[in-house]
Amino acid sequence: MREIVIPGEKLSDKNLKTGYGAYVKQGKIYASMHGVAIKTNDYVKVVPLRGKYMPREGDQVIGIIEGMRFKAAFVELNSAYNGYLSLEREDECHVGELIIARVIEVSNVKNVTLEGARPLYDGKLLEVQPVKIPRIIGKNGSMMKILRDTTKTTIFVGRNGRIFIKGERKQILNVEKALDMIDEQAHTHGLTARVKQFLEQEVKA
Amino acid sequence: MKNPGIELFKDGKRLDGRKVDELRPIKIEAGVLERADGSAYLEWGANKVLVAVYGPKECLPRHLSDPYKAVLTYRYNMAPFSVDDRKRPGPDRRSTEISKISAEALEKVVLLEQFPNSMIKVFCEVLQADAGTRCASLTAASVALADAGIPMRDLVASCAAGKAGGEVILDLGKKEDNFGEADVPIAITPHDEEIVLFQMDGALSKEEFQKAVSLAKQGCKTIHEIQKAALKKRFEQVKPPIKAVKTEIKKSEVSK
Repeated sequence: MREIVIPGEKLSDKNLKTGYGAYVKQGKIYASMHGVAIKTNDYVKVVPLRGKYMPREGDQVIGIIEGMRFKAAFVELNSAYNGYLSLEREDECHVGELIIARVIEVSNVKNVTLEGARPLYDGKLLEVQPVKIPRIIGKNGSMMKILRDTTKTTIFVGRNGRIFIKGERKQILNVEKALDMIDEQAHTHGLTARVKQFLEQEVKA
Repeated sequence: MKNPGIELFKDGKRLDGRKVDELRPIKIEAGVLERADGSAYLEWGANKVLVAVYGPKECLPRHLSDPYKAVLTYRYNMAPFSVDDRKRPGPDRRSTEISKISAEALEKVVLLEQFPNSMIKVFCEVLQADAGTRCASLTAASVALADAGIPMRDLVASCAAGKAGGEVILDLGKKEDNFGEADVPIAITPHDEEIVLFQMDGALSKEEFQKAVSLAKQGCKTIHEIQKAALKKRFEQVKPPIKAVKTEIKKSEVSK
């Protein structure tokens, strides 16, 4: 069952498993976020439709290098916390460059360590609400596959709401239009099929 | 202020024709600003308040940051044109006080522990003032925080009660505030009725005081319904499209 809830709204009287965006008080479950409540028989959570990115271990993120120290870079991640990337050589990257990297550790005080950075260039950087990223990737990457295959572009997706697209100028615009469509209709069913149809039409035209 | 001879309560009705327990008309809209993380616009009678929320973001200045929780800052500001006589711009004794107590009220509901070493900023701009702006700002601020996707235990609904013309009344208007006997602004968490902001100006007997508090709580509950409706409506609208293009990077620009 899906329903829009606001902070403080009661989700369940029963003592169920509590997921993201919900909290337990005196055996009852309440929402802590403004979003869509998802309830199953043994589980309750709230999927927010807005919000900043919170770094998590294992996430792939796209960042901008903001500062350099001896053999390390500070990376802006579109989040409350900056990433820390240690380097082999000091000239590996430069301030202002765009990189894609993986979060390998998030400490208690939210120090974010990155690893495996690769530079990104010759493309277009977009920013979307980070909570929409799972929908843009799709189940097992199904949506991404459609976007890539139909437009013949290379797309890098950062969990922090940044998307980097490489390819023909016209095709990049098509991807942008498709992303707008996903953003607007994120909550609807059969979206993957509609996006596919839309892109095939646009690419032919 | 001395009453110049206005009859504040006459034939069971107030100056503007309201009943003792009647609020002024309230309108709230969430998500009105493009570049803020969360925002809300509120009209409450002749009050007009615009609220923007930023964060959680990097804590600046750094020495304020707390490794156990986020820091919440609140700025209540009146526009120079918000009142009859021009208000001298900038923070003053009154707005500093309101900012402090409002921040403390919101700290009670926002789950700050989830964002250590960060900062959440709330900016309230009073565009037009007509008594009860601290309550209006706080009410709108909690809607803006929810709109920003910031986790909260509950919303905060705020409303004033008081005494004017010898009668305990809800939501004082400007003349009732200026020439009345007492003003009690309160803010509660609507679901468990916990008081998170409480002030009193003027004098009330014990009975009148209790009546005023229960009246204000009732008012807050009504306001909570309006907040709820504003937030639910927010998701029904078409969401704003993908944010503007950030940069276009050419390989030649990358120093290699």
